[in-house]
Amino acid sequence: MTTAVTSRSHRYDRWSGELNKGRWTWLAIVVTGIRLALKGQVTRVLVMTGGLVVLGSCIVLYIVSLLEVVVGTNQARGLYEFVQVFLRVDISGVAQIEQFREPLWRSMFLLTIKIQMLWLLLVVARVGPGLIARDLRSRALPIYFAKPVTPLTYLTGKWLVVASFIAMVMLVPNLLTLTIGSMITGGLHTWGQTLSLALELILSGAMVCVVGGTIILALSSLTSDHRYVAVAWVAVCVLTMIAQGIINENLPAKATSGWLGCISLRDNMVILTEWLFGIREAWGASSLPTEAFSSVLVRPVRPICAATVLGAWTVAAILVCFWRVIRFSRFAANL
Amino acid sequence: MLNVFTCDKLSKRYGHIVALRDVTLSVEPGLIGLLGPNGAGKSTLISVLLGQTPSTSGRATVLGSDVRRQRRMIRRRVGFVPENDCLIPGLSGTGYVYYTGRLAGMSHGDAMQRTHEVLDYVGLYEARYRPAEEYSAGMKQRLKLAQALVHDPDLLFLDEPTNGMDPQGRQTMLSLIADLGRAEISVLLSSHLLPDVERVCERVIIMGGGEVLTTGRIGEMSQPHPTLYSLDFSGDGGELRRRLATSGVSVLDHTDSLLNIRLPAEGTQGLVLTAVREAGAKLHGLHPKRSTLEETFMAAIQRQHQV
Repeated sequence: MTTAVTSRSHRYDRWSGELNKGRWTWLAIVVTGIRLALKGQVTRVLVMTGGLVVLGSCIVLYIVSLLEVVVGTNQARGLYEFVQVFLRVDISGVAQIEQFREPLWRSMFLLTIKIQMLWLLLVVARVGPGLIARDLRSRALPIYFAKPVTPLTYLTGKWLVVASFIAMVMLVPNLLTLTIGSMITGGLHTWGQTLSLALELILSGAMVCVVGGTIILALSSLTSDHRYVAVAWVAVCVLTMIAQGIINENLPAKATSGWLGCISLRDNMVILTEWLFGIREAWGASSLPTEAFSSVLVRPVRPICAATVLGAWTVAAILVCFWRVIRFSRFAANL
Repeated sequence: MLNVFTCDKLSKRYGHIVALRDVTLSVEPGLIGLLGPNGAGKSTLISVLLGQTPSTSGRATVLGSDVRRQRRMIRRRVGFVPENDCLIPGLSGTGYVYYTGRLAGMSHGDAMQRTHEVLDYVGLYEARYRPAEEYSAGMKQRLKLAQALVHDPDLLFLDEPTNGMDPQGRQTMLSLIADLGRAEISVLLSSHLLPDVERVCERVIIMGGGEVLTTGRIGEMSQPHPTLYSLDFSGDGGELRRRLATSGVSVLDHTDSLLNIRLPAEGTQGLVLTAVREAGAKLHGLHPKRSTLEETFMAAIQRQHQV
């Protein structure tokens, strides 16, 4: 390691510019956070492959739109089977597929989101743990809190880093798929039908960003070692999924329709997404028999219970974040 | 002249521990040293002045703004160099200083231009694109100074800025600090290295046990010593030393034309004059020795312990 030789012949020059009011400070934290996270090759690969999940969605939408055109012909038979295998909905014999477009698309997006949530587990485990933990480890917090940065700005910036990655893997690809699907299906009517779905996808993505982002930040603020945070995050997600699986196997469906069915973070988000999409109601209102679409529905759980559990996790995570970061900001000079 | 900071009966307690006790200060612009042993309350004072730690009682202002109500205003006008490494892993020198400029509220263009200027100023221009983790200890200290300067503050808080630096790096850092004083940036230099403070600061605040023990201009703080003198002469040095010894004057050290002596008691300079005359030497000057900052510091700490 070499030390740069300093021979200074010049003097300090004062700067005559203006500082802004700091309204965009959070953006600097977000941009730097994303840039630092994307320096990791593993992160880049995870984000890109996560985005590739929607290729499958595009193919499914293409098949459904093709089915609308070729319905009633010999070609349609194979396509019905395709829909049955991939969407787990039996629409064979249905003459006017476009009447089922909305529930079919919604079911397809629910399935995609289920897969994406598993991928997000890895992406968040890669991106989120170091957000606050690394600042603690490198004692960088005095730098933030000696500048006009409040704990709220700091946390907002850090949260938006996670939220950006969640959006990169889930929200943006889904909206892109929706746009492509609408284009290949054609007609202004399709755009009108899918407009509400776009809003629902945004709400679903926002829910994942809020819940996942705050929990990983809270964990990240608890220790200076990001590896522990990653382990804790995976444990929180996977252990609750395992626990939910065991409960579902051993208790009757009625017993798991309330609080006992809301243990898994991922399942709760899926339940709320299904409720947001209105899939149960959409299929229920169709002329199809229940057994034709029952496989596509998630376990019947009261959405209010799932929302309460996720809300409790989120509120607890936000409180932990503020408690830790305000504490650090007060002792920043002594860190 | 507007004070850079003032404290009025400022106190800070952590449970039963008193970190600051009724600190009252009014500090004019310039280069100010903040001295004190570990636990004296130096870092807590800086933390309170930065608006990070709320005081338990009392009031403080920095550059005319109240530290409780106008924290953001203060932080826009001050820079802070923490004692410890505070680098953000993964950023280059440029990336790090640019980022802190953006955090201070600079636009992208201003932050980028200013980053290059301050990195050049602190002597890191050549190394600006290297990862900051690879910098040597001295370079890291200068990088911390660069991030504190990027938004051109009016007041700098430096917490042990020469820690871990080799002598050459230390000299460079001290010359940078002295230059900032010439550029009319006020500096509060917290350090346990008295020679550093003595070299660059005009005034000093000595703290101990959470209290301000003494403040003043360094030149005025060094009092003339009652019995220690330096004797400037020409003539037979050996004979003069013998005569002085006979008179009860101790010679501490000597060169051909200078003797450092200790009088037997205060006000006995006449013994020296007699000895010089008897030795046939010529007296050019008899100057009382002045106490060093270190002696003033030690005396202040001892007084506090006695209380």
